[in-house]
Amino acid sequence: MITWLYVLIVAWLVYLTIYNLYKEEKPMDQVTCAMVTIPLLLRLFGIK
Amino acid sequence: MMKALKDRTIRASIFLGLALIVAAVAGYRFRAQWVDEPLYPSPHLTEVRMLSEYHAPLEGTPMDTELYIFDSGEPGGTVLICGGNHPNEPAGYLAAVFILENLRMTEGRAIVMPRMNRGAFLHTESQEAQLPNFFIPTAHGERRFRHGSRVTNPVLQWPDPTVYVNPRGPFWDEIVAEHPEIAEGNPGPGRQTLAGVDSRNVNRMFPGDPRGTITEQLAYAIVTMIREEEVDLAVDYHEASPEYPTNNVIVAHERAADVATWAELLLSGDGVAISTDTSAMHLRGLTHREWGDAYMGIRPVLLEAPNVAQGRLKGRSTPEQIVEGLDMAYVRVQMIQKRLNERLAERARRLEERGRIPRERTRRILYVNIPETGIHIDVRVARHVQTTARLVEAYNDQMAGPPIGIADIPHYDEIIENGSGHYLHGPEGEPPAGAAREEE
Repeated sequence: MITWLYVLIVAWLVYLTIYNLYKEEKPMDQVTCAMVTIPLLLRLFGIK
Repeated sequence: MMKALKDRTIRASIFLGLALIVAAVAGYRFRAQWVDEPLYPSPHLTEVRMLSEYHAPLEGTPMDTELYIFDSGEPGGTVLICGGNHPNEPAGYLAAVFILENLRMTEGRAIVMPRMNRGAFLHTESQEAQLPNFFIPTAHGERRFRHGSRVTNPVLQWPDPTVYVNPRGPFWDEIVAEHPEIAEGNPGPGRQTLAGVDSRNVNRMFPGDPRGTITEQLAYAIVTMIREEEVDLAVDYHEASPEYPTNNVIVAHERAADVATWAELLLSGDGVAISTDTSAMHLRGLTHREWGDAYMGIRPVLLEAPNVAQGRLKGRSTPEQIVEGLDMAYVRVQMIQKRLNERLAERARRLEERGRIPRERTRRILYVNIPETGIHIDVRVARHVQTTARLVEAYNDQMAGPPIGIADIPHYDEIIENGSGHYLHGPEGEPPAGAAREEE
């Protein structure tokens, strides 16, 4: 149960990160968002 | 305004695309760790079972692991040989594979469980720059083995608690009711507070919990198997960093102490220096403690060999560190320890001349001597294998239970001389070049 709750939280974080990736104006902030997405996606898909 | 928005969107899409490519490549590599490398049991194998036969909820999960059973067909006792309790301890895993690929039973049965915590083989230690594989040369080329983690993959069990309290398990009350003497000075399992990460360390949670986390269920399934199969002698292979005091030892439950000390004497004749430690009653959740406290018929022991690759003082991660046991950082630490002790001895001498008692004369940083040539994995495997052979011999000598006969296990000197790979199958399953096979 708690695992699914955390998966939902990760899914929400992925959404927010990608949302901010498109919203940020400075390229470096966009790069940061893109880098943050990588471990979140790996966790969301149950890989790492 | 619109152009800036368009540029930003295009840039964001490019960065997201690059992130997805990196995630895909990393994901592919991480996922490759989930594929079991093939093992090739000796032709004397009689049956393969899955651990989930003893606890059905494990079935189909990545934690379910193989039990290789060698039944001689002759009456006798049962020996359990385990590797991969901590997959970041490569000689522990390799020694169990070595036994699996060479063993022949002449009396009783053997159960070999080379990948005890299969869920910990599926990833490497986080933030340790740990190499995911190691390679052993065989007569037919190099064979790959996974170099996993100490704990279950967090993908299978997360999040970790801040503090982990290990389980009491369902067996202790029943055992104490039948054998009240076991509770003398023995607080029983569980109720120990540990670091949160130990909630995924199977060797801190025996006897497990049938309704607990997946790692606790794994521990419960193993103990249930031991009880149902009436295991008489159990050997659990490990490795330890050189700065860890429990090194080059047999850690034995008090019921196994007689067998372990006898084996220690036999090993001294083989040139294997090893000592016996008694399992502490207040250090709970470990195999050598809890297996013995959950089933009265078993004599459980845990073996430790030195491994520089898992130490805190290690240098850069290299394949040589795992296989050759060579790390110049440890050689340097050893030199520092030597100089420190020379200074301490000199200071102690000066204090004694003035009639004062020195507080310390020596200080240990490392608990094993690390030669400049390293401590090769063949030596570590040979230690485990020879100790197992001698433990079985000691068990039979002491008539500790129904006799157990093992055969076709090469001697320590042979493994050192020829290398462990000489007795292993090739990467495609080609038969080993070892002497034991040639006799068949």
